[in-house]
Amino acid sequence: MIRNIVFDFGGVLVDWNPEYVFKDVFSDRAELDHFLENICTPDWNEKQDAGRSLSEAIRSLQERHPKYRKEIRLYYDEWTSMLGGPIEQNVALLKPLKANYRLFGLTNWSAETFPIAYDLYPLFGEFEGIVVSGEERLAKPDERIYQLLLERYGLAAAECLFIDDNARNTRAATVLGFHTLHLQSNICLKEELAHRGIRGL
Amino acid sequence: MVDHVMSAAFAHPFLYAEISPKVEYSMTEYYKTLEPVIHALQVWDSHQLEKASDQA
Repeated sequence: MIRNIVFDFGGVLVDWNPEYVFKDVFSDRAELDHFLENICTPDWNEKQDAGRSLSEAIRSLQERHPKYRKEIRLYYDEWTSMLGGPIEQNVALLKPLKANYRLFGLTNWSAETFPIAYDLYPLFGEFEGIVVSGEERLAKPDERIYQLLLERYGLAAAECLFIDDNARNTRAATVLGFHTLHLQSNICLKEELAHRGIRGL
Repeated sequence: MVDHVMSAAFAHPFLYAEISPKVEYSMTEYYKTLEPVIHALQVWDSHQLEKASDQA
């Protein structure tokens, strides 16, 4: 029986996309793609999610790619412009869900930038607990961060539904015994939750 | 199962020399072969939840 719902944030409840900053920096689409695929890559960003400081991340990347020194610096100088805002149709489900379930967050997010988003969006106040990868120096899909969530809040994986837009992260949760929902772009979260028997929607 | 995932059979550990040492894991080819199995388990589980809710 599901008693707890565990949310990923980026791509599930909050729209976040580096392109929102760099589409105005690079006039050429190919150069924008090159920058985000080869310079400020998702892997590089994930190291900050796992606890590396922003200053160290920028410094080391600028040393490797001096040609992009200015653009690399923009990544965090303009970080709030990467936030597209709450994904309203999913955020609207939080209050009804809260009436029947305990709600938790399990997010890969830098410890330095998460407080900014937390202050911007009241939706984070709906959660009983939030585990932030950057604060724990562990990131999904490392199973230790899922275990940390379970232990910290006294949860059983078999009583949790974990929602994430990254299949890699839901696979890790499945292996640990969570119920999971991989939120792909063509999926309506409300309908998927209803299919799984989630009450109160 | 958790220990298995953490084991060398599933992931290659890389130890970084930092003030707070950390280990990162990359998926092995062996683990990648499990992806369709895990996906099938996810589909099965969602059907089980759906059936249970229909019977409730």
